[in-house]
Amino acid sequence: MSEKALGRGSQCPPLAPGTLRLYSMRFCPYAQRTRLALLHKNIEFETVNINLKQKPDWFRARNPIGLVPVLEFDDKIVYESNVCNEYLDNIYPTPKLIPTDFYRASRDKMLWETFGKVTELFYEIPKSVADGSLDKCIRRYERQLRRYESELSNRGEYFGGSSPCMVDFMIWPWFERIPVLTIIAPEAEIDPNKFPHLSSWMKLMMELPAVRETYEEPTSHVHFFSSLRAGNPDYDYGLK
Amino acid sequence: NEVVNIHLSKKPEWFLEKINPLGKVPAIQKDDKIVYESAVCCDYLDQVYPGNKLIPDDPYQQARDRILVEHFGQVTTQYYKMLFGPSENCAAAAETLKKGLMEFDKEIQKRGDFFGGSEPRMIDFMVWPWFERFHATEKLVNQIFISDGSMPNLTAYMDRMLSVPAVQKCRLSTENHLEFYQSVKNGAPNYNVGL
Repeated sequence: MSEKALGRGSQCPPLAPGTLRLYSMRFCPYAQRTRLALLHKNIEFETVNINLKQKPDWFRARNPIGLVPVLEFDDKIVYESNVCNEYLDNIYPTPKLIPTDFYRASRDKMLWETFGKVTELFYEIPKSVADGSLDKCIRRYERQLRRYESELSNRGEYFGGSSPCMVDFMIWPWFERIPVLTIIAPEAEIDPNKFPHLSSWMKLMMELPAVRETYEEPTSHVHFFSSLRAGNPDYDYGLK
Repeated sequence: NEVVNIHLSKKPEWFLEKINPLGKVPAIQKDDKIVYESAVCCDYLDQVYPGNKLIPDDPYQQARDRILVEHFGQVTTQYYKMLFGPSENCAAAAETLKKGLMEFDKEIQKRGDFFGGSEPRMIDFMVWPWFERFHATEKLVNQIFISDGSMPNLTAYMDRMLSVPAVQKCRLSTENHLEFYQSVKNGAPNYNVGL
């Protein structure tokens, strides 16, 4: 199946019965969460990339909110990255990425539900460089990162302990994009002196097959992000 | 269970240090266990007290209910824009909120007396709090988005929810909500309205 992003006027590729399909976009961090879960669990699936600036009607019919990731399987449709990933963990429980212990599962969910406090700073930091409030922004960024550094120090090499769990995959996509931030704001680099556990964790994550398979080089992320800001997102950048 | 109400504009240090560093409610605590984020609290309570199971066992139905809550987030976003955003954007926010509610007016017809079916379930309790505040909001910002009879299925749903014992036990009146929101807009939130 072609990796090129399908847009307005395109036909929806027919979906064979019993096949799991992911609607995605190659540079979307939210879709990457679900790709990571699928790959780490060795689930068979096919991908259809979507032109999110000119969405096909058939895509909006599946997700009226119009965002990726979306999972489709026979007559079942699931969207919202956290809902997709919890659903996959229920249907494909090997390996189990969300703890069966209710309290531990809650603590894990809290970690990814509150990660928005970090992701919003990825947008605010570049703005703060322009309006002179970078220092204040970086302090907020470091305060939020400290929550994760502290939690990780209590858990082990990964947030899942000796092996990755759902938390690791839910937060990874933004750590992959830090090199884009540091071009504009070098202060956003994860200092191993301030964040020793997160620094080691980042290196470990880069060795996971699922992470390597979804990884895009910083230059690709920068190119995509610039094209997005210029109003003409280059969804197919890097494809032959 | 016991309830401790928090002064959210002057948060006690112990709340930030021991309970929730993000300083938000709800948070639940039992012995050394602490859970916050409302959706996570609800999931946790349903698992630990499964007597009257409110979340569907079927993983796909669970996912679809969660998706419906996410859709409702689009309604609540407009709701806060109307209440606390610039007044010149109020009418537009009300229009968008109404469009969002129309989806729910259609959805309730597919599901039954409640979004949970014949009985209220977690999905109903996740969305109810904003329905409870709609009449007060209409009065406060002078925009009608539900009381005009344009969504009869939702209006009937709201009446049914008002008869649910859990809703009756913890609801505030339209006057209470109006008084609270007025105090927030005046810059001095009165968290003790109704006491």
